[in-house]
Formats: sequence, structure tokens, C-alpha cells
Amino acid sequence: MESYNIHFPIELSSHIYLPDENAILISLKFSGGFESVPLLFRTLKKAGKIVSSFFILDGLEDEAKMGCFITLDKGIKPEDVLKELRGLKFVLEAKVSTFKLDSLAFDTLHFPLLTCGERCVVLTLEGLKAVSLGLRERFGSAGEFLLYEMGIRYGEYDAINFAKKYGLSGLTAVRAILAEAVGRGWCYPRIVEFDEKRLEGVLVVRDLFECLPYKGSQTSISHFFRGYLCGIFSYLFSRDFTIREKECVGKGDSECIFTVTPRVE
Amino acid sequence: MTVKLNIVLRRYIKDHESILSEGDSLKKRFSSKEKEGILKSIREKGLKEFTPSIGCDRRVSYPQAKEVFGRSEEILNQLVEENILEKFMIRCVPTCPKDNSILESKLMCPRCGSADIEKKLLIQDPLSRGLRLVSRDQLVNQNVDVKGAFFECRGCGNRFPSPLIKFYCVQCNMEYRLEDVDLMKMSGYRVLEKAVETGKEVEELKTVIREVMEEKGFSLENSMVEGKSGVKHSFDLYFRKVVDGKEHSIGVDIVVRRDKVSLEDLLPSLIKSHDINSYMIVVVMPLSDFSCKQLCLLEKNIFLIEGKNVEEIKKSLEKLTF
Repeated sequence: MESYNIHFPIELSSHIYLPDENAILISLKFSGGFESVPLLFRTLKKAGKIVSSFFILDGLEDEAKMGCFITLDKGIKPEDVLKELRGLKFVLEAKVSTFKLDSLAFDTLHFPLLTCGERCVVLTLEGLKAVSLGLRERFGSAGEFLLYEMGIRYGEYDAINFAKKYGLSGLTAVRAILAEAVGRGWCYPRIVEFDEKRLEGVLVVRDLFECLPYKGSQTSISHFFRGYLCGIFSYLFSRDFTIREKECVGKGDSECIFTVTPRVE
Repeated sequence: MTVKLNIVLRRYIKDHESILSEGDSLKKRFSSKEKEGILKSIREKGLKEFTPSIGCDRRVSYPQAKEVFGRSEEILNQLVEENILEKFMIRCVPTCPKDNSILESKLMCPRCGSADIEKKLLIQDPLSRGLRLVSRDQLVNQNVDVKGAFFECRGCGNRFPSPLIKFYCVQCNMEYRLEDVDLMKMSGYRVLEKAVETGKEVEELKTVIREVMEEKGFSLENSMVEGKSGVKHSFDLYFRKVVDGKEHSIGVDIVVRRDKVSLEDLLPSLIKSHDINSYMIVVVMPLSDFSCKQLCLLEKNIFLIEGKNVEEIKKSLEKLTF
């Protein structure tokens, strides 16, 4: 049903590790849209090398924002760069952070992190693995159930959010929420079949954040995402669902495959 | 410059990715079930100690641990934290500062540095009472009085009381002086009797519970049960009986501790009870703390059975009606 065409990954650098380099973080607000970008880059390049991915938070129509880590060439001081940037007509605001610990430069200028206007946080796959591993080790199957319950609440929240914000319902809302999962970096899900009368379907999920770090496991790993799907379907179709993970990358399958069926008590 | 930066970045990303495979080095905590399984293995194999041995890769390993748990030192240290084992020092061994492997020693002539040296024994002739140096294979009379030992260099003929000791690494072929080597403590692990006793009590309880439940008409089933969530839960014991066509099932979790059973010990059972359709009996020995009792009372499908010993638990179980 769905087919996305992934182009490239996005790197969001909260810090950068550059030994023996004078790395600084620059944050800019500027006007003039795309036309201002080449001159901006030329100015930055005069000071050094742009080493991390930059990001532009707003559209480029009127006021745009960007941030980047650059390593300064020898003899260039952060205040020189700042002066140069502030001298540009279209630069509305320029800030520099030189906060460093050892060879690590941190992004301490951009906060909070937003996605579609909502505040969000970044949790790495390995960090999440540590959390889920801890729950599994400490509580066994009860830990897996806790992950599942957490997933349900998150799924319900997303379903409510999409229904209220955009008036979406039923399968369209499911498809929208799953498409959102790509942009969130969760996974690359596809609904391969869904019978709207029987409310039964199959989802194929690639690179699922929950299962990916567990490669080499003996069993299916996804409990949070199963719960998440259950929360979405249960809210949008007003009945309980059973989600099973038939195949899992954690146990060596190429993709995770989930079946969706209404729950029979 | 850009190339250099790219290398640094790539290396950084690579280092970061490598954490994925090291995830297992996170501090492991065992669930009650895992602990019981470990104690059972230790008990069944009659293990008292895990002693180290040096493998051909010149690293310390614990063959018994590998045989029982499939893992070596890592799990033994975790079991120390779980109060199942205690660690004790055996000796210090020299290790390579470069690759951490255990070093071989090399005896050399202090004058010319040759490793071609021979050990000679200083003996007193029983007849002449004179002293002379002989090699061990020249020693015919074993009852001869050995007064000491000398070393002789086959290269330069030097005789010396103690050779120069150097160390070499068979992994990286490096040679080290004593002052340059690292020292590693080689430890053994002793099984704590009290911990094993706890495991024995769990087994005893299992037998008693089974007897009582079978008297009540239940039959023992596969202890792996799928919850409403689809998560597969395991119980120490799982019973089923059918009365008037209606099925009754009960999962039993056993928690035995040396002191009081804490809420943390009971949490897995409490959480599981929310996901299963059956009743649960949580058998606790010796006693649970107050917060456990309060929480169990809130759950409709949990029976908390406590007792200072197996006999007390048996009596409480017999009183239960289903």
C-alpha cells in the first residue's frame, strides 16, 4: 500500500568531537531567504571549515535560522567571525558558542528541540536498548509487558493527536501516523495489506529502532512498537487489537512483519 | 584539512557505532528466574569454586563457568554482585602493557644476555664432603645434600646465582623488564553456601506446591503462558483444572530470600498479573515487607502466601480455596 523513497539520513549533532581543532558553534537568524545563503556560506568558509550538518529551522521566505559547527583556521578568532557575520546586511542575529570540554564542542545554543511544533527529545538506539535491556533483565517478561504498555499509551496519544489536529480517522489516520514514523526516525513501515471490513492486516517494517540493536536475538524483540500499533488501531477503530510480530530483524529476519487482528476475548 | 576532518568524523561515527556491539557490557542484572536457574546449575553440578586457568591465547579464563553458563569472567563478577559468589585473590601475574595478555618469563645471563643457560645444583659429596656443581641429569644419588643452585651461561661461560629475568609476550613478541610489565590479579570465585541453600528451598517449595495443587485437582502445565499483550510470561509452576466445563488456571511464582522479600522482588509478579487472564499465587519465604502486602491486596487475581519455612507455606496453601 505504502511506498516511500528514502533519500538520505539526517544528522543532528548535539556535539562534535574534533581533537586538535578549534571548533565553534554558530547560530544565525537571517533574512533574504535562499539568496542570502551563498554569501553566508562564503563568509563562513573564509573563517574555516563547516564540519557538521547544519539545520534550517524555519522556511526560507522571510526569516530563517541555521546553526553549524565550524573549525576555525589558524589565527581566526570567534569574535572575528561574529563581527564579519554581523556586518552582513541580511544577518539579523548571530551568536557563537565556544563551549568545549576537551575536544568536544557542544550545541548549547539551540533549545528546545521541536518536531512539527511539538517539543521532542532525542534518544539514541543504544540508549533505548540499554533501557529495554534493563527492564528485560530486571523484570523478565514483566519488563516486556511494561514496554508494551508504554507503547499502547504512545500509540493512543499519536492517534488522538492526528485525529484532533488534522481530523483524520480510520485507515487514513493509521497511514499518516506510520508515515510520520519515517520522519521521526523510528522505522520505515509499510502496510502491505489491510482488510477494512475484517480489520485485519499485515505491516512490514524496515529498520525498526526497537529491534535493530538486538540483532542475534533468539526471539522477537518488539514489544513497545507492538503496543504502539495496538494503541493506534484500538483508538482509531474503537476496539481491542492483537498485534503479533511474525518476523523480526532481531532474530535474523530481513524485516519485521506484524499482523493486526481484532482481539477475540 | 577537509579530508583529515572527514577521517576524524568517520572514525568518530565508527566508534559510536561500535557501542552497538558492546551493549552487552552494560551492567547486567539478573531476574529472579535467571538467578534460580544459575543456582540450580551450580547445585546440580556440585560446584564449590570457579578457578582460573591460562589459555593458549595467554588470557585468563574460567572453564567451569564457560561450561555452566556459556560465559566466563563477566558473569562471575555479576554473580558476586548478586551475592551468589565471593571473589578471592589467587596471585598476581605479569601482563603485557600493550595487549594485556599474560607474559611468559625468560631467564637470561646477566653478563651477555643469552637465554642459553643451564641450571646447576651445588651438592656436597657424601664421601669427600667437598662441594661441586652438577646438572640435574648428572645427579645419580638422589639422597645427596643439595646446598644451593647456580646458573651457567653456555654462551660466555659465566656462572651466576640468579639469572636476569625478563618477560615476553607471545602475542605481540615484545620483551619487557620486570619494571615495565603490568600486574594482573588472578582471582577465584567461591560459591556462597547460603545462596545455594536458597535455591534448594525453591526446589523444595516447588515439590510441596505441586503436591498441594494436585490434591486440589489441578494438573501441572507448561509454565510459559501468553498474556493479553502477546508477551510470553513464564511462571515457576502453572496449573490448570476444568470444573463444569470452566477452565481455572493458576500461575505460581516463588520468591525466596535470605532476609525479607522486598517490593522489588515481587514487582515482576505484580506486573505480570495485569497481563494474564488467570489467577496467580505468589509464594514468599520468609516474609514480605508491608508495601508488598498492600500492593498484592489491590490486585484481584493475586494470592500472597508467606511463610518462614516450607511447612508454614504448605499449611497456608492448603487453606486456599478455588
